[in-house]
Amino acid sequence: MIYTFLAIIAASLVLALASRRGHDHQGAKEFFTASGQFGPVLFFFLSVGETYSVASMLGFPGGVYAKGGGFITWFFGYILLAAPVLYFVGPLIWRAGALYGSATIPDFFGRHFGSRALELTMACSAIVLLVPVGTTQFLGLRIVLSSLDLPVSPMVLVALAGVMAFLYVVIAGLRASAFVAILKDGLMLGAILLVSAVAIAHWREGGTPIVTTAAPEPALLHDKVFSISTMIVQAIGFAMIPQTWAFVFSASHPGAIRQAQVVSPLYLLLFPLLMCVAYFARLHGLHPPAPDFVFITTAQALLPPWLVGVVLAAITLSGLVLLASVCLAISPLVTRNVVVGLDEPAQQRWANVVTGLYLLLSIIGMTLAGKLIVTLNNLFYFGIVQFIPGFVAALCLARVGAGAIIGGLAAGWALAFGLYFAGVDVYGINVGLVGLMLNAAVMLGLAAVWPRRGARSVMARLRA
Amino acid sequence: MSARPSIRVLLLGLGVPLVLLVGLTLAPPWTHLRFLGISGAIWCLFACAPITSLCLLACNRQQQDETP
Repeated sequence: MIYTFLAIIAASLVLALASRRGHDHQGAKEFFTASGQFGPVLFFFLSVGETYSVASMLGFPGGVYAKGGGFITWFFGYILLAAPVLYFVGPLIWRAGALYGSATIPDFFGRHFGSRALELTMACSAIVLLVPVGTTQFLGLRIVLSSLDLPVSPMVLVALAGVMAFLYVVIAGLRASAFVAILKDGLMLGAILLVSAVAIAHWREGGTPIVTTAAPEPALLHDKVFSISTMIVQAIGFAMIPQTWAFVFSASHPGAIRQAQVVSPLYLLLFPLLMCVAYFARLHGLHPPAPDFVFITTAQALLPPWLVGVVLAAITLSGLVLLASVCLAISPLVTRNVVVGLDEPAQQRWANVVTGLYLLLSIIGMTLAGKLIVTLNNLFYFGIVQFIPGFVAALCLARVGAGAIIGGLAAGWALAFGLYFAGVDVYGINVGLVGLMLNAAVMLGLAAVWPRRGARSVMARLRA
Repeated sequence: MSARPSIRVLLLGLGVPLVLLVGLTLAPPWTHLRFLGISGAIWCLFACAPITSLCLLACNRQQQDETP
């Protein structure tokens, strides 16, 4: 098991090194966005890396195993809806970014609105919201690495995983992430197909029949409202995630983004297979040590050890690719938007320092993880979706200024986080959506009172 | 290629998947039937993935045709 695992991890490092070929002289744009040279195939692998992280491979079947399928509607719905959202919004982000030579969200907002305050607000909030993403990945990696049964502390193994993610970033920036993502997706696809196929083949042995009828659980209108509002908030929020912008800027042309989104919903057909694995474990008496172990426990029960090594390597790579992507999203936020005046080599040097610090903080966060991390993860989409009114204003509403956007953001965050922490239920509506409505209203109200003059919207500039 | 997609393309690419997902949430069909442990309503939800892909493919073709 350990040999196949190590061989695959070593192969990923070789692939990261190979991605540098022909791109030895890396500027900051090459490092953070691969100089916008990715066609539909590389863009596709990079963007689906975000969808299939360690959380999807362990957390999704774990959730089904522990709680049944109640959360599937909004979880699957938002990831599916994110594809058409990105199909339409992605090319707009690409064109808007190209207009201002942007590499990050705050780059775009700062330059379009000519406001350092707005650039800083966007950068600092994005950094805060991205912090728990790394911790979540390390929590998943700890589960995978502890399943290797090595006589080494899981903390040491997690630290080594952090070193691997750091190496991907240092070797070739976003280009390495994209190349490793190809290996990761191939292995992950194989691992899910294999484990689910073997589970289905063993389904009848002492378990329940393949087809059954069961009394339906009545769903409350409240739950349906929550599912629909969460689906919508998280799908549009997906387009505002800092990594999404980095991926979009890595595309060689807007058509590459569209083509990748045409295929990406088909990738979601792996979810029923993951769900089958969880139900197989539940209905056939497998007992994972914790719900999140269910995919690994099923693989261990049904596959020979060397194939379990392949499965564990696939899950590990899915965590490492996302970690590297988040590092590459957070680094330019610090080196371009928070600290100003760094030249390109300095940006890249400091990006490595920020990456190291972020990985270290995430590992420390993992050791302290508990309710706080769960809370921060919930807050991620409530917070990130509040960037939407400002983006729409930049696209179409020339009279909206930076002050109105900051006012709207503050109101949206205050209401969404306030409702969440106070535990107020607004008829089941996702509090992120409630905050979004106030955000838009405040932004438009402030723009009506203090309109921006003499400016043009992005759409007007693109038409010119 | 125009930066702004036509209403027809928007309805096909965004409207159809949204209506399907909202419809399946509000009125989930075949909830009593289970195949491989998964209810009929969830299988219908999963079927939205290839439908969305087809819709986006049609949009992409349409937008390419609209290119002057």
